[in-house]
Amino acid sequence: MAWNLDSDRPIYAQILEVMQLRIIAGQYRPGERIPSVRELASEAGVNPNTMQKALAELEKEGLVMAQRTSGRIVTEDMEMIRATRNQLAKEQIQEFIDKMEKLGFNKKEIVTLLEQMEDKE
Amino acid sequence: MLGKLLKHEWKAVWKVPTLLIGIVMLAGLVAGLTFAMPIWNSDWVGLPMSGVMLILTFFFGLSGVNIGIIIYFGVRYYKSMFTDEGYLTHTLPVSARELLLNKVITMSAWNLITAAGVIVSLMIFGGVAFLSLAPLDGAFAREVTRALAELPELFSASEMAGFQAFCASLILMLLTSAFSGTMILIGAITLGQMVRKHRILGAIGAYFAINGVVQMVNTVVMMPIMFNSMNNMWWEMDSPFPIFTGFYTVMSLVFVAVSIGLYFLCEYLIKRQLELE
Amino acid sequence: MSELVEINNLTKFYEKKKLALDHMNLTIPRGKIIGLLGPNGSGKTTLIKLINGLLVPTEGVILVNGFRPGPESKAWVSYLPERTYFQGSMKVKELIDLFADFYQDFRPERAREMLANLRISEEDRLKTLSKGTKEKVQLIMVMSRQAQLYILDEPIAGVDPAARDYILRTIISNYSEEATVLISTHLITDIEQVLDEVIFIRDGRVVLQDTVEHIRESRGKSVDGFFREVFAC
Repeated sequence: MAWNLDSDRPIYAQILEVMQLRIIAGQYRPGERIPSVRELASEAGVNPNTMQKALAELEKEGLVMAQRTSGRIVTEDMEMIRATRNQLAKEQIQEFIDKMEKLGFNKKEIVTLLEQMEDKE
Repeated sequence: MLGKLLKHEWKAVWKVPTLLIGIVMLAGLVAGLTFAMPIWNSDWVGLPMSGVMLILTFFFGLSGVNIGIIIYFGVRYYKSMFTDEGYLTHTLPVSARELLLNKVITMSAWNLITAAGVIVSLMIFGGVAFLSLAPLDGAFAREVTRALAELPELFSASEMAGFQAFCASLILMLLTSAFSGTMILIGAITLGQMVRKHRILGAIGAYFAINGVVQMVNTVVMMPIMFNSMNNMWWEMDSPFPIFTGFYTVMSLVFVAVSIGLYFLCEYLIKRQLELE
Repeated sequence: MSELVEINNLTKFYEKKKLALDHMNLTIPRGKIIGLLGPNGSGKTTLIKLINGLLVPTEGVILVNGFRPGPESKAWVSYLPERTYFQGSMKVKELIDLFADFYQDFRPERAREMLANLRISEEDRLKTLSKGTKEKVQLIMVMSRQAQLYILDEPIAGVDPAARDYILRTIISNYSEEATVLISTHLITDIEQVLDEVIFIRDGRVVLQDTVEHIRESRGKSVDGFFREVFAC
């Protein structure tokens, strides 16, 4: 998952998304230590304070946990990871539906369209 | 920190002047060796001529090396203090005084080393020339050896009265002129900086101006000694040395005064008027 | 503890005619990455040179940790000028020796590691290096210090995107935690996401000092967009 940060949205929110995706996709495995704030900030080319804030938020969500020694590890609570995954999926679908509705499709038509596309493949 | 500055300065500068002094010593050796060559009685005028040319080149080389080393250190001072390199020089955690003392000490030391180098090359030239000529012309060698043997006797003559004091004053003059030469160079370049738009031209102008002033001061303070010796009919005195001792002592004092004055001026300018482009 | 940098009533005239800084007041806090932004000729470089003691103020006072620019402040400030300023005849190795001798906060192992990553030999003389490599060597030397204030004058002007990324990464991964990094630039988009705060200056005066976050929230646009608005011709 690369850091393709836009300039028109808050950087902090974008960092949070990338980190969530990395955990869901297993780039950082459950129980594994994630890189330090400085390493991540340097990799993303962002301010370390911003990265710090995003990781604190990630911690608040429960996806990562601060360790006594130093650093953070990914949660081993698979349920939590799955829930986040579902949450993100729902957000994506909602966004998709909103756009389709703007194009004038209702839910039923959308489902039909999806099935047709699946058949073609 | 001054010690560290001196160490790095020394490491950065020793090569060029050492090379120049080495060359002039070698030139002294070659010029001396010409006397051993069978060129002087040649029928073709080109051979003795080229011998003469070689010797002349050596003597011009002596002053050339002197000027070359002055220019080298002048350019280096200018570059390290007032050009892009000054961005490093002036962001080191050292005081203006340490920066300036570093330059003064290094450059004065090299002035003295250069003077010593010149004297040594002259000795090489003279020594080699003597050794080359001695086997060819036994009479000449005997003459020189006899003259050398008579030296102590010469020193005790009344014409030589005050010779030791004269030598001391000469050495003092050379030492102080090494410092004042450095300070005049540093002072001129630093003063030239005040002409913000034409810094190099300013430095060259200041160099001639300061030298002119120093010479004027020297002449003025010499006057009393001159008149004094006139009155005392120096030509009736046995030894000429006391008068020169007086001259050199006064010159030394002038050099010291000029050096100290220029030093504090430079320190003020570097501390309070620095303006890197 | 005093502020990292305090600037009061700072004025600089060149040659008695050109006014570069006009009674500027400014405070630079600790622990931030700060952009010093302004069009060309706005006084950015003059301000930086004054903080580093390469110029003397016509009027006003600069205090770094409570000290006027001098040997003490120079021991805390690590400065990258906008030009190549090392003596060309020096070897990289000699440069490391020099920095290690004079700056107590210099970490030679760190510098060596970064040079090795770029495959720059310590035996190379600076004048034999390309302009881009020379600039990287300078950045490495400056960022290998654990200074309290890093001042980087136009570090990304005229470099390609790969070099720009390298420069930004090097800055982020090397500055010491409690330190402040002051980066002057007129290319805001490229470094906006690295900054905590910005200082806009124009005609030798501070126009605005604010956090990036606050600008984005309150103005609803990027700092670059806002900058274009403030400095619209």
